[in-house]
Amino acid sequence: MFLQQVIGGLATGSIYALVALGFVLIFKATDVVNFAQGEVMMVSAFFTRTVMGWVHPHGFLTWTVVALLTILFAALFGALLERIIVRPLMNAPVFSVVMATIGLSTLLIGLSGGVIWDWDTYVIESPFSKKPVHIGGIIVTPLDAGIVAVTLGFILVLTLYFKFTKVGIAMRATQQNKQTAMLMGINVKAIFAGTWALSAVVSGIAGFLAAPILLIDTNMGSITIKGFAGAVLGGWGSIPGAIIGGMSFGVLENLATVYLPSWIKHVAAFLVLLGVLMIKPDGLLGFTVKKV
Amino acid sequence: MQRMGLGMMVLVACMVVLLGLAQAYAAEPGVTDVEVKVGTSAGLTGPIAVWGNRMARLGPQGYFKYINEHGGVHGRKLEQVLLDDAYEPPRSVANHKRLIESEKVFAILLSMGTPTVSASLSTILDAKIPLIFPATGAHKWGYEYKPLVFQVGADYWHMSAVMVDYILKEKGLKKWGIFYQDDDYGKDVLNGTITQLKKHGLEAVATETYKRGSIDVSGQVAKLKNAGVEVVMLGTVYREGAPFMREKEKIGWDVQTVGIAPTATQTFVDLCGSSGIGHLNTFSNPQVDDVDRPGVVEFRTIMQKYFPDEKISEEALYGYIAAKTFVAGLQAAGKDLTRASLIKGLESLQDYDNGVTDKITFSAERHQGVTASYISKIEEDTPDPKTNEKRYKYTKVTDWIKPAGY
Repeated sequence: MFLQQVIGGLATGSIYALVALGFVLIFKATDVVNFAQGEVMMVSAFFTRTVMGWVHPHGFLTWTVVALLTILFAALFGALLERIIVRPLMNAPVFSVVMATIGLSTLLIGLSGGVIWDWDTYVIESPFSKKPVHIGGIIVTPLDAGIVAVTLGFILVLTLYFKFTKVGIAMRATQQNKQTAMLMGINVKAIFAGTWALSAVVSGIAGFLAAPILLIDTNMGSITIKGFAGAVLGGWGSIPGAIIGGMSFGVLENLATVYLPSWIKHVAAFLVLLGVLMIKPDGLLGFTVKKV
Repeated sequence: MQRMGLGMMVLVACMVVLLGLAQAYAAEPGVTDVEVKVGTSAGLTGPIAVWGNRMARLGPQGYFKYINEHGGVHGRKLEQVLLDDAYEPPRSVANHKRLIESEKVFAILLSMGTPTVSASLSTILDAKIPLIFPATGAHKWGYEYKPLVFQVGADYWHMSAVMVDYILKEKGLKKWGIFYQDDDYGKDVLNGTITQLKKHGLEAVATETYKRGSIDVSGQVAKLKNAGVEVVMLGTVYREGAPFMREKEKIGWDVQTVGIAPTATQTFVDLCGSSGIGHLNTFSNPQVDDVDRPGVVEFRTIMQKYFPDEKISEEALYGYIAAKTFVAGLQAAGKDLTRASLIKGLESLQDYDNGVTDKITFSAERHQGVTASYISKIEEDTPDPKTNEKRYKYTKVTDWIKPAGY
């Protein structure tokens, strides 16, 4: 049972990890915490569902097309949000931008439920099958495995991206000191837009992978707080940390529902977070970035 | 005291008379010669937004529009002030305060949610305002708060009693597990089920909880399975019931699941997909295609006329039933409408037929309307003609059953 819960927790944890990753990406480049992260995922998921409604039949080819369209949509959506909400506040205190993102999350919920789509709950089936596979007494579905695999792969790509590519390094430089980055010739505005686009793509992928589990409706964004907790647990500002934190959070939750009494099980993961922060305030893999 | 001029005295006398008249007119909040105003607080956004919009808005507003077009009740048009609480108790309390103090409504109708309305109850009772047919199935509205509170539909205790008796009789499954939401609603289902099991000399073998909004329920499913449970009562709303079903399908656990009102919706069936097959659920209203009931036909006509773009749903049907029965109470209260006369009017309804449910009788002692429900099973439907994807639906398997012992 223990191992089964751990494996199951990895899949839910991957979704938290992707949300956490979305947070960290924006934070790394712009110092902003985007509390509308979950709602960005929701909008992408609704978009996926709408497109799925137009294309038939639902074979692997259509799925790939829908996935690519969702990624494109997410990138544009993220860039749009940055342009409308964040860019005007570029020189305001960071806290103001954070407040704006909190408002944005409510706005997105209202627009999605009341104007563009509706308040119903929907489900879309993923290309990964949900038929369980028994491996040595543990039950895994290709869906779970797929979620974990895509998440890990994505993380690897992004870590390399931030370490070795020009744009990635430029993003890190922009986070450390906007003014100096500009003086060094980095197009800070483009970096901002690009970061938000990238973060939205991450959320879009999360929504799309997770839709069969999460169910698509305007409440999807409630996952934000768990992604946030995962990011903090793993070390705020660290990409591998976001992943480890998110996945640990998922596993902890799953283990708690089985092994802990009901009065504590639903908050156990948060209690662990508190405990870790008391011992290591930077989180598991975190490090305090020295502002230059 | 100085001698007041005659003019002064006449002025004062007029003011006293006018004040007296104003007092008489202001006697009953929410009521004028031409209008009756009711208030509702429901989750129009949030986890039960589907119900909030259909049951607390479309259903009653459709019926009110219909009645208003036919002259209203004793010449008064019906108006609903509807506020959103997103299924959050603090917001519900604030909304009810606003409805009572600032909107000054005549009565509260169809406010929604067990945790939400329960939190607002002291506000409502303190204001001595009637609470009519709240949209929650908790087992107290029809029994505990006379004379101000009335309930029209069967509640969770009635429904779980019917289901427990049915399963014990038809399937002989004695090892019960209960999976319930960790709040007033879930606990009500838990208690209703346990009470009925006790009547048969049985106890629940295992119970598990979840928090509203959970995604992963695999731990709870695993524990119920390990406890050897043969039948699971889902004290859930559709949003967490579906993950439970999908998880049990995933681990290949062939347990019988049963549910009551909040999972009695096509939304739940759609979300479960193939994992739903064989699930049994109680229904306390006819389904919307039950066109041999004249009330259902009237409801369908109303929906098509006033809300042609909306789905004709069971949830809206319930809202319609509540609104219609309320109007019957208004009618019986007579032209001189006060909160007291409304209560007397409702209590005078005997064998009232709203054309949809069982006949309803209220009295000074009885504030509970319908108690019966019937049982349906989830089965495969014909595939979608456009996409060829599988579809599922509820099919009736019993007739109306009155719960034993109520």
